[in-house]
Amino acid sequence: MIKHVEGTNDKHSVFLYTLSTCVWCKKTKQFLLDMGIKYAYIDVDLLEGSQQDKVMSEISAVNPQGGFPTMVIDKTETIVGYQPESIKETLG
Amino acid sequence: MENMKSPEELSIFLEKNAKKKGYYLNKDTVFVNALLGGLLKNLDRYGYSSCPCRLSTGNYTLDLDLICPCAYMENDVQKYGSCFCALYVSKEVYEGEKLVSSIPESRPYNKIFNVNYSQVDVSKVVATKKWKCSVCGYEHLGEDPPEKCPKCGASKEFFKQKNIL
Repeated sequence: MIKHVEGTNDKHSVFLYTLSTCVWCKKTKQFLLDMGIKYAYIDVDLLEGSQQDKVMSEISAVNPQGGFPTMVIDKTETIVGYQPESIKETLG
Repeated sequence: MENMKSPEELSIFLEKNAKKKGYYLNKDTVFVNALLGGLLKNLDRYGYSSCPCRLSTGNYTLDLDLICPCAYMENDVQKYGSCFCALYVSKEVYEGEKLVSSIPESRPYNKIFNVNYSQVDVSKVVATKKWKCSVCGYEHLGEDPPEKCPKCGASKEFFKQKNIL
């Protein structure tokens, strides 16, 4: 369910809520990979309905406006959408 | 669109539709093909081509606003220069005067978070009438035509009643 991607930069805990079909999500994953950042993600559309309910309530707590990808850094900071500049600033 | 299997075929259809309605498609073909792959995946798993960048419930009525082009597309293109996915863009973006970027979600909170994703659609309609989309040929069984074609997004008026047999 949760997939882990290894990287040389593991200074922060990085978790992504994504959809397998969303292109901004794909670009965000690729950007993190290119930057060598260690992260974990979950493709919400591939989960079963009951798990989707649970995960959506997690997302609403950190990103009330909604939208994929939702990135949570160190369980405190949230970046919504494909935001290479903010990612670089926060994790670079 | 009923026999569409590849992003290329879907792309030709969307281009024609965009031209007719005065919409502009993103010129980045790699990006667009990835989105079309997502649309086709949704068509396959839900039975309608809902937005690949949002989570569908699998219930047609609840997801109606997400069928591409979604209900938020025109406003978002006007406000931000692209739709949520960046499949549709403004004239400025199309002509290269502005770059696309990820935009905020315009879909209302309750449609995203106050729905049950684990529900099963049990709204089985006893077929009394058959309707055919004159744009893409999609067939719908039911008392009324759907508000919006689940395959190509054409509105209700494009449906014509057909003999049930």
